[in-house]
Amino acid sequence: MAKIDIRGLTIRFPVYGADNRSLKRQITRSVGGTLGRRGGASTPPLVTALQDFSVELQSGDRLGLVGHNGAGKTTLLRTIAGAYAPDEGVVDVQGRVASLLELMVGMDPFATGLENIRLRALIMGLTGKQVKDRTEEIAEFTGLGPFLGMPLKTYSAGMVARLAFAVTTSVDADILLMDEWIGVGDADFRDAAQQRLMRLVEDSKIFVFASHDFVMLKKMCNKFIGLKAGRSTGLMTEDQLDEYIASH
Amino acid sequence: MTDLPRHYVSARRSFGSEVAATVHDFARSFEQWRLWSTLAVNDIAARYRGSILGPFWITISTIAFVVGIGIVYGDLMHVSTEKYVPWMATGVVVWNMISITINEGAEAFLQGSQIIRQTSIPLPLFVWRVVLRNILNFGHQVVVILGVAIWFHFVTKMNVPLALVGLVLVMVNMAWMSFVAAILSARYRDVQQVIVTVLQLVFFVSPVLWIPNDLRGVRSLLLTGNPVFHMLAVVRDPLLARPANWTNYLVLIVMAAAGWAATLSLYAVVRRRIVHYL
Repeated sequence: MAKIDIRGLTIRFPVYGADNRSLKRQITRSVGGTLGRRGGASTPPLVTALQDFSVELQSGDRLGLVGHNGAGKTTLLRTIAGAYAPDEGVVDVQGRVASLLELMVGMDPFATGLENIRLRALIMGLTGKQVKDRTEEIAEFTGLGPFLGMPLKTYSAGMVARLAFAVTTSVDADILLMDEWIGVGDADFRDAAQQRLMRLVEDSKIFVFASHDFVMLKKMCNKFIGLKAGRSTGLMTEDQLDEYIASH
Repeated sequence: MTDLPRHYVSARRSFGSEVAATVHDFARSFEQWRLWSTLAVNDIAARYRGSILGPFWITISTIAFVVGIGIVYGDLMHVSTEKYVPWMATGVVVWNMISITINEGAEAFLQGSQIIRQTSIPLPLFVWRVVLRNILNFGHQVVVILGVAIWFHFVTKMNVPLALVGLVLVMVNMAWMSFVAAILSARYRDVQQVIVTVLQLVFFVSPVLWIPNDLRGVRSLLLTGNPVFHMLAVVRDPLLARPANWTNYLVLIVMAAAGWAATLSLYAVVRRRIVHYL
Protein backbone atom coordinates (compact mmCIF):
# COMPACT_ATOMS: atom_id res chain seq x y z
CA MET A 1 0.00 0.00 0.00
CA ALA A 2 1.34 3.36 -0.98
CA LYS A 3 1.01 6.04 1.62
CA ILE A 4 2.08 9.51 2.61
CA ASP A 5 2.01 10.31 6.29
CA ILE A 6 3.12 13.80 7.25
CA ARG A 7 2.88 14.98 10.82
CA GLY A 8 3.65 18.41 12.21
CA LEU A 9 5.93 19.23 9.31
CA THR A 10 7.78 22.52 9.54
CA ILE A 11 10.28 23.57 6.91
CA ARG A 12 12.45 26.63 7.42
CA PHE A 13 14.78 28.07 4.84
CA PRO A 14 17.85 29.78 6.15
CA VAL A 15 18.54 32.60 3.70
CA TYR A 16 22.29 32.85 3.35
CA GLY A 17 23.80 36.05 2.14
CA ALA A 18 20.61 38.11 2.30
CA ASP A 19 20.10 41.30 4.24
CA ASN A 20 17.24 40.56 6.57
CA ARG A 21 15.98 44.10 6.90
CA SER A 22 15.73 44.93 3.23
CA LEU A 23 14.03 41.59 2.65
CA LYS A 24 11.52 42.26 5.40
CA ARG A 25 10.42 45.51 3.84
CA GLN A 26 9.71 43.87 0.55
CA ILE A 27 7.51 41.19 1.96
CA THR A 28 3.78 41.60 2.24
CA ARG A 29 1.41 39.41 4.18
CA SER A 30 -0.23 37.66 1.25
CA VAL A 31 2.96 36.55 -0.42
CA GLY A 32 5.67 34.26 0.90
CA GLY A 33 6.18 32.41 4.14
CA THR A 34 6.86 33.82 7.58
CA LEU A 35 10.14 35.58 8.18
CA GLY A 36 12.07 35.19 11.37
CA ARG A 37 15.45 34.37 12.86
CA ARG A 38 16.61 31.48 14.95
CA GLY A 39 19.31 33.12 17.00
CA GLY A 40 21.06 36.47 17.12
CA ALA A 41 22.01 38.79 14.31
CA SER A 42 24.82 36.46 13.24
CA THR A 43 22.51 33.66 12.15
CA PRO A 44 20.89 33.82 8.73
CA PRO A 45 17.29 35.04 8.46
CA LEU A 46 14.77 32.21 8.30
CA VAL A 47 11.79 31.86 6.03
CA THR A 48 9.23 29.45 7.41
CA ALA A 49 7.89 27.89 4.24
CA LEU A 50 5.67 25.32 5.93
CA GLN A 51 4.37 25.41 9.49
CA ASP A 52 2.98 22.45 11.40
CA PHE A 53 1.60 20.76 8.31
CA SER A 54 -0.06 17.36 8.63
CA VAL A 55 -1.79 15.09 6.16
CA GLU A 56 -2.35 11.39 5.73
CA LEU A 57 -2.90 10.00 2.24
CA GLN A 58 -3.56 6.48 1.05
CA SER A 59 -4.05 4.69 -2.24
CA GLY A 60 -6.83 6.34 -4.19
CA ASP A 61 -6.29 9.77 -2.72
CA ARG A 62 -5.88 12.65 -5.15
CA LEU A 63 -4.82 15.72 -3.25
CA GLY A 64 -5.16 19.18 -4.75
CA LEU A 65 -3.08 22.03 -3.29
CA VAL A 66 -4.22 25.63 -3.63
CA GLY A 67 -2.55 28.82 -2.44
CA HIS A 68 -0.81 31.99 -3.58
CA ASN A 69 2.73 32.06 -4.87
CA GLY A 70 5.07 31.33 -2.00
CA ALA A 71 2.34 29.73 0.12
CA GLY A 72 4.39 26.54 0.41
CA LYS A 73 2.93 24.32 -2.31
CA THR A 74 6.19 23.64 -4.11
CA THR A 75 8.06 23.26 -0.82
CA LEU A 76 5.59 20.57 0.19
CA LEU A 77 5.97 18.76 -3.14
CA ARG A 78 9.77 18.92 -2.95
CA THR A 79 9.68 17.63 0.62
CA ILE A 80 7.59 14.64 -0.44
CA ALA A 81 10.08 14.14 -3.29
CA GLY A 82 12.82 13.99 -0.64
CA ALA A 83 14.78 17.15 -1.40
CA TYR A 84 14.14 18.88 1.92
CA ALA A 85 14.39 17.39 5.39
CA PRO A 86 11.91 18.53 8.05
CA ASP A 87 12.97 21.01 10.71
CA GLU A 88 10.14 19.69 12.81
CA GLY A 89 7.79 16.77 12.39
CA VAL A 90 7.94 13.58 10.38
CA VAL A 91 7.60 12.72 6.71
CA ASP A 92 6.89 9.09 5.90
CA VAL A 93 6.47 8.25 2.22
CA GLN A 94 5.97 4.69 1.04
CA GLY A 95 6.06 3.96 -2.65
CA ARG A 96 8.01 4.97 -5.72
CA VAL A 97 7.77 8.72 -6.10
CA ALA A 98 7.84 10.42 -9.48
CA SER A 99 8.00 14.17 -9.47
CA LEU A 100 6.87 16.05 -12.53
CA LEU A 101 7.92 19.33 -10.96
CA GLU A 102 10.51 20.44 -13.47
CA LEU A 103 10.81 18.28 -16.52
CA MET A 104 14.21 19.54 -17.60
CA VAL A 105 16.17 18.71 -14.45
CA GLY A 106 19.52 17.16 -15.26
CA MET A 107 19.36 17.56 -19.02
CA ASP A 108 22.51 18.70 -20.78
CA PRO A 109 22.19 21.03 -23.78
CA PHE A 110 25.43 19.74 -25.29
CA ALA A 111 24.51 16.07 -25.09
CA THR A 112 22.41 14.41 -27.79
CA GLY A 113 18.72 13.62 -27.45
CA LEU A 114 19.45 9.95 -26.79
CA GLU A 115 22.12 10.73 -24.20
CA ASN A 116 19.66 13.05 -22.52
CA ILE A 117 17.03 10.32 -22.39
CA ARG A 118 19.52 8.19 -20.48
CA LEU A 119 20.60 11.00 -18.15
CA ARG A 120 17.08 12.11 -17.36
CA ALA A 121 15.81 8.55 -16.88
CA LEU A 122 18.62 7.76 -14.41
CA ILE A 123 17.84 10.94 -12.49
CA MET A 124 14.18 9.90 -12.37
CA GLY A 125 15.42 6.76 -10.63
CA LEU A 126 15.10 4.18 -13.41
CA THR A 127 17.54 1.27 -13.23
CA GLY A 128 20.05 0.60 -15.99
CA LYS A 129 17.93 -2.21 -17.36
CA GLN A 130 14.75 -0.13 -17.34
CA VAL A 131 16.55 2.64 -19.18
CA LYS A 132 17.67 0.20 -21.85
CA ASP A 133 14.23 -1.36 -22.17
CA ARG A 134 12.36 1.91 -22.40
CA THR A 135 14.65 4.06 -24.52
CA GLU A 136 13.10 2.89 -27.75
CA GLU A 137 9.55 3.57 -26.60
CA ILE A 138 10.54 6.99 -25.27
CA ALA A 139 12.38 7.84 -28.48
CA GLU A 140 9.37 6.82 -30.53
CA PHE A 141 6.97 8.85 -28.45
CA THR A 142 9.03 12.02 -28.85
CA GLY A 143 8.57 11.76 -32.61
CA LEU A 144 11.96 13.41 -33.01
CA GLY A 145 13.41 10.65 -35.19
CA PRO A 146 16.88 11.47 -36.52
CA PHE A 147 17.09 14.58 -34.32
CA LEU A 148 17.70 12.32 -31.33
CA GLY A 149 21.29 11.98 -32.50
CA MET A 150 21.75 15.77 -32.46
CA PRO A 151 22.74 17.85 -29.45
CA LEU A 152 19.86 19.23 -27.43
CA LYS A 153 21.00 22.82 -28.03
CA THR A 154 19.99 22.49 -31.68
CA TYR A 155 16.37 21.75 -30.68
CA SER A 156 13.55 24.23 -30.63
CA ALA A 157 11.91 24.85 -27.24
CA GLY A 158 8.99 22.66 -28.32
CA MET A 159 11.29 19.80 -29.28
CA VAL A 160 13.09 19.98 -25.93
CA ALA A 161 9.73 19.95 -24.16
CA ARG A 162 8.67 16.85 -26.11
CA LEU A 163 11.82 15.02 -25.14
CA ALA A 164 11.66 16.02 -21.49
CA PHE A 165 7.99 15.12 -21.32
CA ALA A 166 8.46 11.72 -22.94
CA VAL A 167 11.21 10.66 -20.54
CA THR A 168 9.65 12.09 -17.42
CA THR A 169 6.35 10.36 -18.05
CA SER A 170 7.97 6.99 -18.79
CA VAL A 171 8.35 6.09 -15.12
CA ASP A 172 6.09 3.85 -13.07
CA ALA A 173 5.05 5.73 -10.00
CA ASP A 174 3.03 4.86 -6.95
CA ILE A 175 3.08 8.48 -5.95
CA LEU A 176 2.93 11.21 -8.55
CA LEU A 177 3.74 14.84 -7.80
CA MET A 178 2.83 17.62 -10.19
CA ASP A 179 3.25 21.38 -10.00
CA GLU A 180 0.72 22.84 -12.47
CA TRP A 181 -0.68 20.71 -15.25
CA ILE A 182 1.76 20.00 -18.04
CA GLY A 183 0.85 20.97 -21.58
CA VAL A 184 3.43 20.54 -24.30
CA GLY A 185 3.82 20.50 -28.03
CA ASP A 186 1.78 21.26 -31.11
CA ALA A 187 -1.78 20.06 -31.70
CA ASP A 188 -0.97 16.44 -32.58
CA PHE A 189 1.52 15.95 -29.83
CA ARG A 190 -0.67 17.67 -27.28
CA ASP A 191 -3.41 15.06 -27.59
CA ALA A 192 -1.00 12.16 -27.30
CA ALA A 193 0.74 13.87 -24.39
CA GLN A 194 -2.52 14.48 -22.53
CA GLN A 195 -3.50 10.85 -22.96
CA ARG A 196 -0.16 9.69 -21.68
CA LEU A 197 -0.30 12.05 -18.72
CA MET A 198 -3.85 11.01 -17.83
CA ARG A 199 -2.83 7.37 -17.91
CA LEU A 200 0.10 8.10 -15.63
CA VAL A 201 -2.16 9.90 -13.16
CA GLU A 202 -4.73 7.13 -13.28
CA ASP A 203 -2.08 4.45 -12.76
CA SER A 204 -0.62 6.23 -9.77
CA LYS A 205 -1.95 5.31 -6.37
CA ILE A 206 -1.54 8.73 -4.81
CA PHE A 207 -1.53 11.97 -6.76
CA VAL A 208 -0.50 15.31 -5.29
CA PHE A 209 -1.22 18.24 -7.56
CA ALA A 210 -0.55 21.93 -6.95
CA SER A 211 -2.32 24.35 -9.26
CA HIS A 212 -3.95 27.72 -9.67
CA ASP A 213 -6.39 26.22 -12.16
CA PHE A 214 -9.45 25.35 -10.05
CA VAL A 215 -11.26 23.62 -12.89
CA MET A 216 -8.35 21.26 -13.41
CA LEU A 217 -7.95 20.75 -9.67
CA LYS A 218 -11.57 19.76 -9.25
CA LYS A 219 -11.40 17.49 -12.27
CA MET A 220 -8.30 15.62 -11.08
CA CYS A 221 -8.58 15.60 -7.30
CA ASN A 222 -10.91 14.33 -4.59
CA LYS A 223 -9.33 16.05 -1.58
CA PHE A 224 -8.05 19.57 -1.20
CA ILE A 225 -5.80 21.60 1.04
CA GLY A 226 -5.39 25.35 1.03
CA LEU A 227 -2.03 26.80 2.01
CA LYS A 228 -1.50 30.31 3.24
CA ALA A 229 1.92 31.54 4.36
CA GLY A 230 2.91 27.95 5.06
CA ARG A 231 -0.12 27.06 7.11
CA SER A 232 -2.63 24.42 6.11
CA THR A 233 -6.42 24.68 6.10
CA GLY A 234 -6.67 20.97 6.72
CA LEU A 235 -8.39 18.61 4.30
CA MET A 236 -11.35 20.06 2.40
CA THR A 237 -14.06 18.55 0.23
CA GLU A 238 -14.92 20.07 -3.14
CA ASP A 239 -17.74 22.15 -1.58
CA GLN A 240 -15.43 23.42 1.13
CA LEU A 241 -12.90 24.30 -1.57
CA ASP A 242 -15.52 26.44 -3.31
CA GLU A 243 -16.20 28.29 -0.08
CA TYR A 244 -12.46 28.70 0.51
CA ILE A 245 -11.89 30.09 -2.95
CA ALA A 246 -14.80 32.48 -2.57
CA SER A 247 -13.48 33.80 0.73
CA HIS A 248 -9.90 34.31 -0.48
CA MET B 1 3.74 -6.10 4.72
CA THR B 2 5.13 -4.07 1.88
CA ASP B 3 8.14 -4.08 -0.39
CA LEU B 4 7.62 -0.53 -1.56
CA PRO B 5 10.55 1.82 -1.15
CA ARG B 6 10.16 3.89 1.97
CA HIS B 7 11.37 7.40 2.54
CA TYR B 8 11.15 8.28 6.22
CA VAL B 9 12.64 11.51 7.56
CA SER B 10 12.08 13.21 10.86
CA ALA B 11 13.34 16.41 12.39
CA ARG B 12 16.92 16.29 13.62
CA ARG B 13 17.06 14.14 16.74
CA SER B 14 20.69 13.75 17.70
CA PHE B 15 24.17 13.66 16.22
CA GLY B 16 23.93 9.86 16.35
CA SER B 17 20.82 9.78 14.19
CA GLU B 18 22.50 12.13 11.72
CA VAL B 19 25.51 9.82 11.53
CA ALA B 20 23.17 6.92 10.77
CA ALA B 21 21.51 9.03 8.09
CA THR B 22 24.97 9.86 6.72
CA VAL B 23 25.79 6.18 6.35
CA HIS B 24 22.45 5.73 4.60
CA ASP B 25 23.19 8.61 2.21
CA PHE B 26 26.57 7.11 1.31
CA ALA B 27 25.10 3.65 0.79
CA ARG B 28 22.42 5.03 -1.51
CA SER B 29 25.00 7.06 -3.44
CA PHE B 30 27.01 3.90 -4.14
CA GLU B 31 23.87 2.02 -5.18
CA GLN B 32 23.32 4.70 -7.80
CA TRP B 33 26.79 4.26 -9.32
CA ARG B 34 25.22 4.17 -12.75
CA LEU B 35 24.07 7.74 -12.43
CA TRP B 36 27.35 9.23 -11.28
CA SER B 37 29.37 7.23 -13.76
CA THR B 38 27.05 8.40 -16.53
CA LEU B 39 27.41 12.01 -15.37
CA ALA B 40 31.21 11.67 -15.20
CA VAL B 41 31.45 10.09 -18.65
CA ASN B 42 29.14 12.78 -19.99
CA ASP B 43 31.43 15.44 -18.49
CA ILE B 44 34.39 13.90 -20.30
CA ALA B 45 32.37 13.50 -23.50
CA ALA B 46 31.53 17.20 -23.25
CA ARG B 47 35.25 17.96 -23.57
CA TYR B 48 35.43 15.97 -26.78
CA ARG B 49 32.42 17.67 -28.38
CA GLY B 50 33.38 20.05 -31.14
CA SER B 51 37.02 19.34 -30.43
CA ILE B 52 39.27 16.88 -32.23
CA LEU B 53 41.50 16.01 -29.29
CA GLY B 54 39.18 16.73 -26.39
CA PRO B 55 40.74 15.95 -23.01
CA PHE B 56 44.02 15.14 -24.74
CA TRP B 57 44.56 18.87 -24.86
CA ILE B 58 45.30 18.65 -21.16
CA THR B 59 47.83 15.95 -22.01
CA ILE B 60 49.36 18.12 -24.69
CA SER B 61 49.65 21.09 -22.39
CA THR B 62 51.22 18.80 -19.80
CA ILE B 63 53.73 17.63 -22.42
CA ALA B 64 54.54 21.25 -23.28
CA PHE B 65 55.01 21.97 -19.58
CA VAL B 66 57.22 18.94 -19.04
CA VAL B 67 59.38 19.70 -22.09
CA GLY B 68 59.73 23.37 -21.19
CA ILE B 69 60.55 22.82 -17.55
CA GLY B 70 62.74 19.83 -18.45
CA ILE B 71 64.96 21.90 -20.76
CA VAL B 72 65.55 24.70 -18.27
CA TYR B 73 65.21 23.41 -14.70
CA GLY B 74 67.35 20.26 -14.77
CA ASP B 75 70.37 22.35 -15.69
CA LEU B 76 69.53 25.07 -13.16
CA MET B 77 69.39 22.49 -10.39
CA HIS B 78 72.51 20.71 -11.61
CA VAL B 79 70.65 17.45 -12.08
CA SER B 80 71.04 15.31 -15.18
CA THR B 81 68.09 15.30 -17.60
CA GLU B 82 67.72 11.50 -17.25
CA LYS B 83 67.19 11.96 -13.56
CA TYR B 84 65.22 15.19 -13.56
CA VAL B 85 62.61 14.76 -16.31
CA PRO B 86 61.14 11.41 -15.16
CA TRP B 87 60.93 12.75 -11.61
CA MET B 88 59.25 15.99 -12.64
CA ALA B 89 56.92 14.46 -15.27
CA THR B 90 55.47 11.81 -12.95
CA GLY B 91 55.11 14.42 -10.22
CA VAL B 92 53.30 16.88 -12.48
CA VAL B 93 50.79 14.29 -13.71
CA VAL B 94 49.92 13.06 -10.21
CA TRP B 95 49.80 16.63 -8.89
CA ASN B 96 47.43 17.66 -11.69
CA MET B 97 45.00 14.91 -10.73
CA ILE B 98 45.07 15.78 -7.03
CA SER B 99 44.78 19.53 -7.46
CA ILE B 100 42.08 19.49 -10.15
CA THR B 101 39.99 17.02 -8.14
CA ILE B 102 40.08 19.25 -5.07
CA ASN B 103 39.51 22.36 -7.14
CA GLU B 104 36.56 20.92 -9.03
CA GLY B 105 35.19 19.45 -5.82
CA ALA B 106 34.39 23.02 -4.87
CA GLU B 107 31.79 23.02 -7.63
CA ALA B 108 30.37 19.56 -7.00
CA PHE B 109 27.16 20.58 -5.22
CA LEU B 110 26.76 23.86 -7.08
CA GLN B 111 26.90 21.95 -10.35
CA GLY B 112 24.22 19.53 -9.15
CA SER B 113 22.07 22.17 -7.44
CA GLN B 114 19.19 21.82 -9.89
CA ILE B 115 18.96 18.08 -9.21
CA ILE B 116 19.58 18.44 -5.46
CA ARG B 117 16.70 20.88 -5.02
CA GLN B 118 14.19 18.63 -6.81
CA THR B 119 15.00 15.05 -5.88
CA SER B 120 16.15 12.79 -3.06
CA ILE B 121 19.35 11.88 -4.94
CA PRO B 122 22.03 11.63 -2.20
CA LEU B 123 24.62 14.39 -2.07
CA PRO B 124 27.80 12.26 -2.01
CA LEU B 125 26.91 11.16 -5.55
CA PHE B 126 27.95 14.57 -6.86
CA VAL B 127 31.39 14.22 -5.29
CA TRP B 128 31.87 10.74 -6.77
CA ARG B 129 31.07 12.25 -10.14
CA VAL B 130 33.91 14.78 -9.76
CA VAL B 131 36.37 12.14 -8.50
CA LEU B 132 35.57 9.69 -11.28
CA ARG B 133 35.71 12.43 -13.91
CA ASN B 134 39.24 13.24 -12.78
CA ILE B 135 40.31 9.61 -12.65
CA LEU B 136 39.20 9.31 -16.27
CA ASN B 137 41.10 12.48 -17.02
CA PHE B 138 44.17 11.04 -15.32
CA GLY B 139 43.82 8.08 -17.70
CA HIS B 140 44.49 10.50 -20.56
CA GLN B 141 47.55 11.89 -18.82
CA VAL B 142 49.19 8.54 -18.18
CA VAL B 143 50.36 8.88 -21.78
CA VAL B 144 52.86 11.50 -20.59
CA ILE B 145 54.38 9.16 -18.02
CA LEU B 146 54.53 6.36 -20.55
CA GLY B 147 56.18 8.63 -23.13
CA VAL B 148 58.84 9.75 -20.65
CA ALA B 149 59.41 6.15 -19.54
CA ILE B 150 60.01 5.05 -23.12
CA TRP B 151 62.24 8.03 -23.92
CA PHE B 152 64.43 7.47 -20.87
CA HIS B 153 64.36 3.65 -21.04
CA PHE B 154 62.84 2.82 -17.68
CA VAL B 155 59.61 1.18 -18.81
CA THR B 156 60.72 -2.28 -17.78
CA LYS B 157 61.97 -1.08 -14.40
CA MET B 158 58.62 0.40 -13.35
CA ASN B 159 56.82 -1.34 -10.50
CA VAL B 160 53.31 -0.80 -11.85
CA PRO B 161 51.35 -2.90 -9.30
CA LEU B 162 52.86 -1.01 -6.37
CA ALA B 163 52.23 2.31 -8.15
CA LEU B 164 48.57 1.31 -8.53
CA VAL B 165 48.35 0.57 -4.81
CA GLY B 166 49.75 4.02 -4.20
CA LEU B 167 47.33 5.53 -6.68
CA VAL B 168 44.37 4.03 -4.80
CA LEU B 169 45.66 5.53 -1.54
CA VAL B 170 46.02 8.89 -3.26
CA MET B 171 42.48 8.71 -4.64
CA VAL B 172 40.94 7.78 -1.29
CA ASN B 173 42.60 10.84 0.22
CA MET B 174 41.86 13.30 -2.58
CA ALA B 175 38.23 12.18 -2.47
CA TRP B 176 37.71 13.40 1.09
CA MET B 177 39.55 16.61 0.34
CA SER B 178 37.27 17.14 -2.63
CA PHE B 179 34.25 16.40 -0.45
CA VAL B 180 35.27 18.99 2.15
CA ALA B 181 35.83 21.51 -0.64
CA ALA B 182 32.32 20.75 -1.94
CA ILE B 183 30.67 21.38 1.44
CA LEU B 184 32.64 24.51 2.33
CA SER B 185 32.34 26.19 -1.03
CA ALA B 186 28.59 25.54 -1.15
CA ARG B 187 28.29 27.53 2.07
CA TYR B 188 30.93 30.20 1.40
CA ARG B 189 31.52 31.04 -2.22
CA ASP B 190 34.96 32.54 -1.52
CA VAL B 191 36.26 29.12 -0.59
CA GLN B 192 37.03 28.21 -4.17
CA GLN B 193 39.34 31.20 -4.51
CA VAL B 194 41.00 30.23 -1.24
CA ILE B 195 41.51 26.70 -2.56
CA VAL B 196 43.09 27.94 -5.79
CA THR B 197 45.49 30.10 -3.81
CA VAL B 198 46.39 27.42 -1.28
CA LEU B 199 46.90 24.81 -4.01
CA GLN B 200 49.28 27.14 -5.80
CA LEU B 201 51.30 27.59 -2.63
CA VAL B 202 51.31 23.84 -2.00
CA PHE B 203 52.49 23.21 -5.56
CA PHE B 204 55.64 25.25 -5.03
CA VAL B 205 56.49 23.90 -1.59
CA SER B 206 55.94 20.28 -2.63
CA PRO B 207 58.59 18.27 -4.44
CA VAL B 208 56.92 18.34 -7.85
CA LEU B 209 59.44 20.43 -9.76
CA TRP B 210 62.38 20.00 -7.41
CA ILE B 211 64.19 17.00 -6.02
CA PRO B 212 64.60 17.05 -2.25
CA ASN B 213 68.26 16.29 -1.84
CA ASP B 214 69.21 18.02 1.33
CA LEU B 215 66.48 19.95 3.05
CA ARG B 216 67.57 20.61 6.59
CA GLY B 217 65.98 22.03 9.68
CA VAL B 218 62.52 23.55 9.41
CA ARG B 219 62.41 23.02 5.65
CA SER B 220 62.47 19.25 6.05
CA LEU B 221 58.92 19.63 7.34
CA LEU B 222 57.97 20.48 3.75
CA LEU B 223 58.39 16.77 3.15
CA THR B 224 57.43 14.87 6.27
CA GLY B 225 54.67 17.28 7.28
CA ASN B 226 53.33 17.78 3.77
CA PRO B 227 50.47 15.43 2.75
CA VAL B 228 51.24 16.02 -0.91
CA PHE B 229 54.81 14.77 -0.49
CA HIS B 230 53.48 11.42 0.69
CA MET B 231 50.83 11.30 -2.03
CA LEU B 232 53.44 11.96 -4.71
CA ALA B 233 55.91 9.49 -3.26
CA VAL B 234 53.67 6.41 -3.26
CA VAL B 235 53.02 6.76 -7.00
CA ARG B 236 56.33 8.21 -8.12
CA ASP B 237 58.79 6.02 -6.25
CA PRO B 238 57.55 2.69 -7.67
CA LEU B 239 57.41 4.16 -11.19
CA LEU B 240 60.99 5.41 -10.96
CA ALA B 241 62.09 2.11 -9.38
CA ARG B 242 63.08 3.88 -6.20
CA PRO B 243 62.93 1.92 -2.96
CA ALA B 244 59.55 2.15 -1.23
CA ASN B 245 59.41 4.01 2.03
CA TRP B 246 56.68 2.46 4.13
CA THR B 247 56.28 5.60 6.20
CA ASN B 248 54.55 7.18 3.19
CA TYR B 249 51.95 4.42 3.11
CA LEU B 250 51.39 4.59 6.83
CA VAL B 251 50.91 8.36 6.72
CA LEU B 252 48.40 8.06 3.87
CA ILE B 253 46.41 5.34 5.61
CA VAL B 254 46.21 7.37 8.81
CA MET B 255 45.38 10.49 6.82
CA ALA B 256 42.60 8.70 4.95
CA ALA B 257 41.08 7.41 8.19
CA ALA B 258 41.29 10.75 9.98
CA GLY B 259 40.25 12.73 6.91
CA TRP B 260 37.20 10.60 6.23
CA ALA B 261 36.19 10.61 9.90
CA ALA B 262 36.32 14.40 9.90
CA THR B 263 34.53 14.66 6.56
CA LEU B 264 31.74 12.32 7.64
CA SER B 265 31.30 14.26 10.89
CA LEU B 266 31.12 17.55 9.02
CA TYR B 267 28.66 16.06 6.56
CA ALA B 268 26.51 14.68 9.39
CA VAL B 269 26.28 18.15 10.91
CA VAL B 270 25.41 20.07 7.75
CA ARG B 271 23.74 17.48 5.51
CA ARG B 272 20.25 18.91 6.03
CA ARG B 273 21.36 22.44 5.30
CA ILE B 274 23.42 21.88 2.16
CA VAL B 275 20.34 22.08 -0.06
CA HIS B 276 19.66 25.55 1.40
CA TYR B 277 23.20 26.72 0.67
CA LEU B 278 22.63 26.28 -3.05
